[in-house]
Amino acid sequence: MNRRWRDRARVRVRRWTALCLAASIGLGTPLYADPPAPRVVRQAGVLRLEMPPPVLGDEEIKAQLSSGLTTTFVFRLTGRSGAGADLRGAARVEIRYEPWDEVYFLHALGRDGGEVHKTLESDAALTAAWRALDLVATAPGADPGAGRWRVELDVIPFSRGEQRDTQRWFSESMDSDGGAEQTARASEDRSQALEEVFNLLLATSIGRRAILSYSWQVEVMSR
Amino acid sequence: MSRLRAPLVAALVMVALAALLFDAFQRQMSGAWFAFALHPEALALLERSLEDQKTLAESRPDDEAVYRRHFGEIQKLLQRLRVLEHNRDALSRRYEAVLLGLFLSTITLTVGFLVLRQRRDEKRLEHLGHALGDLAAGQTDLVLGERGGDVIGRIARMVEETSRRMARDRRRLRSLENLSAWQEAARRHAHEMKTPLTGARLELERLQGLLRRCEDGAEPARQAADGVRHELDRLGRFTQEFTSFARLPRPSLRSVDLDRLASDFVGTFEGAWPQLDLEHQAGGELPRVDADRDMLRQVLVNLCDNSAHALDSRRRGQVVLRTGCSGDQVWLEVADDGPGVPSELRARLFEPYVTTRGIGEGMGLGLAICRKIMLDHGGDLELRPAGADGSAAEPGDGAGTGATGATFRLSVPVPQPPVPSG
Repeated sequence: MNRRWRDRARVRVRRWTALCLAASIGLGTPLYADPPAPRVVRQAGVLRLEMPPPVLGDEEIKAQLSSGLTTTFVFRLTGRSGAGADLRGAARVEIRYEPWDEVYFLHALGRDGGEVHKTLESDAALTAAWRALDLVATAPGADPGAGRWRVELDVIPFSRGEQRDTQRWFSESMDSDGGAEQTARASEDRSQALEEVFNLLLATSIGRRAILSYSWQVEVMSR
Repeated sequence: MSRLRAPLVAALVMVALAALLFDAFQRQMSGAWFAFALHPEALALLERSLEDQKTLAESRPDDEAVYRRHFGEIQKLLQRLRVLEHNRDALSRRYEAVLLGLFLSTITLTVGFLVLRQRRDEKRLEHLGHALGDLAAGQTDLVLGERGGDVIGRIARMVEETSRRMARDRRRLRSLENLSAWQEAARRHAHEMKTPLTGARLELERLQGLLRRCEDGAEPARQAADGVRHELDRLGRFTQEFTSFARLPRPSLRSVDLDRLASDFVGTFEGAWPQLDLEHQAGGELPRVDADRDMLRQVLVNLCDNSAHALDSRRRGQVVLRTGCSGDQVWLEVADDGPGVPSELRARLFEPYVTTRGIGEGMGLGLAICRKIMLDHGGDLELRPAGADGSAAEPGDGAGTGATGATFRLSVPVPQPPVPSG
């Protein structure tokens, strides 16, 4: 009786161990694969970022784009210069949907200061314009090296201007007297000052955190 | 520090517990508020109203600008709420952190204040313990410098007051012992002088009887005998003074209003000293004291006598009697505007046979008798500085006289109610 119970217990332990192993392997495996990496081309002493990854089709990003907020795509490149020193590059793309006119505004900014402004009337046009982007990612004369570069993409749900606007609005909404004018008048009041500090502390917690992040190791192409 | 360890640990545990409870509570509160502010239904309604504005603009193209403006406003609000929605967790965390920080700061400050206060109280108690030790060792006139209104401060002031009373009682006791010794000496002198004085008087009476029988040529002898009688009478008066000092009666205590006594004295003795103007300054409501009215009056008469004697015969003087109360004593001050007491006499002023008068003008027992009377009342007689408000320095400080005259203070203790037993 005792021996049979011990055997069953052993079997149960083995089953649980196998289940736990399988679960841990399953959890470690990403459910969705990253989108294809953008193309990074070395040309005329700069790195160019071409064919950004097709992330606009992502459900979360689609929902974000339709919110009317300015969705910001920040590319960061990390690699080495031709001399072997650490080198960084960056580029930024902002997309805002205008729900009244039902158009997208696309604004892209390269590291060399080159800008692209486009107004797009459909999702398809937006996707095409996105995929056609060609941005300078390193400063002119930086002499980026060949080899593997790390490319990271952060999707930030709103712009710095929208962040500041919301911070100000939030701070004013929290003000019990309901206005900056009155707040200034009562600034000598200690409790008012404490309230202002409290509001400021809360308002400054409104940050621009990425809702999605991607990362690739990309082999630089020379042209 | 070891005494502080237990309360410090207890305080820290309490703070941690309070912080945990507060954090759990306000987490619920802040979560509820943010859920309420960013309710999905509200956001959905705003989105629907955006659509409505567009629909309205299409149906009423003339008012498109108005609807577009409305649309923009709603859109702005919706965007702001979405930004908040994105930062919901961060906002919630910051809100909780700020409140928790405020709570912890308040508690920490309070605990810090209490710990510091406890340390301070420990030091004060230690100081008080030393002072009590000094008091037990016989040290008097202690000054602890405690000004706090709390229990320790009050106890410290009680210790100071007790030490002051002890000092006063010791001074009184020393004075009494000293005066008792002088009284005994005076009694013996009076006794030794009285017997030969009586014999001399009897012999003189016999001699005068013999001289009265002589017919002629006895006049010079009679005059000499009268001179001897005069001197014997003076000697008799001095002997009587010795006797008076040696046999001072015990005061017969009755309840007395010192203010009234002073007022009556001024009324009764107004013309007693032609060169003196007496004035009474009432001291308001004073507790009654147990005293012998006649003996106090004797003291006042003596002090006024001294003032009158000290005055320059060419000018008038003023003596002011004023009363007051300090601590457990009611006092009556006699202040004159005379030349004051010479500094070399101040320390020994109340000793017997100390006088400023010439030989044969007085024995210098008056102030000693006055002081003995006051000591027998449980009070004292001191020389004080004459201040405008009647306030004065402590006895023995060397002040008390000067261009403004001399001020003597008679103090009598206020009878204390009996302490209930049990």
